[in-house]
Amino acid sequence: MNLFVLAHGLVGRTDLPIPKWLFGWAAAVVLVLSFAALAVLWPKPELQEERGRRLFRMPRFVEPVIGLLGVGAFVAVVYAGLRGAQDAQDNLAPTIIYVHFWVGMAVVSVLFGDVFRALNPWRAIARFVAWIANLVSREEMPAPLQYPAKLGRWPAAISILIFVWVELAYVNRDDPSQLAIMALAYAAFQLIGMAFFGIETWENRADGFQVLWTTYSRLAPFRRRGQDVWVRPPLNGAPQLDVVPGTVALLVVAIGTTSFDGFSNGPLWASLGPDLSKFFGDIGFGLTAQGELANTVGLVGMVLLVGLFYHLGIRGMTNVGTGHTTKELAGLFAHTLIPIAFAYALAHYFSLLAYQGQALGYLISDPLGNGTNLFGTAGAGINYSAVTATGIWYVQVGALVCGHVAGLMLAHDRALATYPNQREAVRSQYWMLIVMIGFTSLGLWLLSALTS
Amino acid sequence: MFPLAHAGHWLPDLLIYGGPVVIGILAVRYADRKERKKDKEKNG
Repeated sequence: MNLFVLAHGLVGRTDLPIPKWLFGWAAAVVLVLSFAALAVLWPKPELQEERGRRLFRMPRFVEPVIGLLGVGAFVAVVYAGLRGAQDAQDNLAPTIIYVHFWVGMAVVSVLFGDVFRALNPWRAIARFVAWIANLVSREEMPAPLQYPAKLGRWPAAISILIFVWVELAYVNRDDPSQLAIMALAYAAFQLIGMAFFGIETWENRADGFQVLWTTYSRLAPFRRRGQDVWVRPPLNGAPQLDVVPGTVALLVVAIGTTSFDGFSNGPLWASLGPDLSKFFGDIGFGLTAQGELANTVGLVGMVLLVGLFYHLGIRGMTNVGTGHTTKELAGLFAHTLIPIAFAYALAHYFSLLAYQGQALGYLISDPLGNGTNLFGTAGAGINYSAVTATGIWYVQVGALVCGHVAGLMLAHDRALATYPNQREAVRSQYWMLIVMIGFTSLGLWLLSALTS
Repeated sequence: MFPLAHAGHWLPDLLIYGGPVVIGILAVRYADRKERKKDKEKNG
């Protein structure tokens, strides 16, 4: 990401009281202590039943209004991409898509719940079309097709993988007009899917962004039930995740792709990548394709590695007790990956959000990059002293450790509900502890490599 | 070719960041074996 390499790279060397590698060991110690504390202090399942209380009833007009805002923002981004200056720095589209949409919406989902469901422009358009069709049609609308159960969340996982491929491997990733065309193509695909399989079914299974952010929103203290907004205890939403085919894949893709983003900016990939590119050049690929293929191999390889690590952890659990297969346990514990996926995203993209996110200030006044000043903020800049490099490092380490401790808590609680006694439940989690330590170490290594 | 050619890059990091994982795996295997032994003794 040419535009954002600067923002990633800004997390330069910091003056920390202890060396960075020590953070890795300290994080592992925190996880071990958390594990021991859970074993002693958390004797029965607490999170399996959904709890909470109703806060307020949302007026009916709110969702259509937010949907209209979403459609407006989508149209503005596509228009800017197609008609604005074809420069990633000056055009609104790349920053909105990669920073505010991709990173910002994940953070919003964890803080405030499934906000994107209301804001989702293609869902809003589909709902509006369905409403009009119901209004003008004299007969009842035909029922949607049955969504194939086997597909599950696989279309969502593949959508996210393709999006991140564009972000990290595609050579024209910053080209505003190409991004706008891809956004239109994505929206068209979602509309077709919703027309065939029903709006909510499609949105809950196949729309990559909606599915991922709905999944993240399970960590939020707020949730919607019809028109009511509820508040619930921390982490209570995650165990309610319905596990269908592709759910683990979606979360593994989320972790693996973020990992590759970090890895591809580090020194190891700086030396491995060119060798891999050269290999593709030697077997006859052109210059552009060489780089794209090398990054594709790295991206897919990292996703597979993360998947393999989770699979090994789950496989270790099958040694405890009887009657649980690897496949069954992989589904039962899939929700423990939600805080990890979010922690990875926050840790990796926090500097991008903190710095490049400020670009919205001037881009909103000059979205096309043609010198207009709609709101008088076109001259605003990015304040790089808003967050210090040391501050960013602490946020990153804090996010990784908290995310993995949350993963341990979710896993412990599910184990208590799955195994016949506490001793077996704790024993089954030995391997999950290793998975968590492994993911924390990987995350810290990626970040430390990036900042060295 | 790679990855051995770049061992200078990844070997120190592997030792530093992979250390907790390796120690963890060994500790888990040890604890698991001990628990199994205890189970065996209990069941006669």
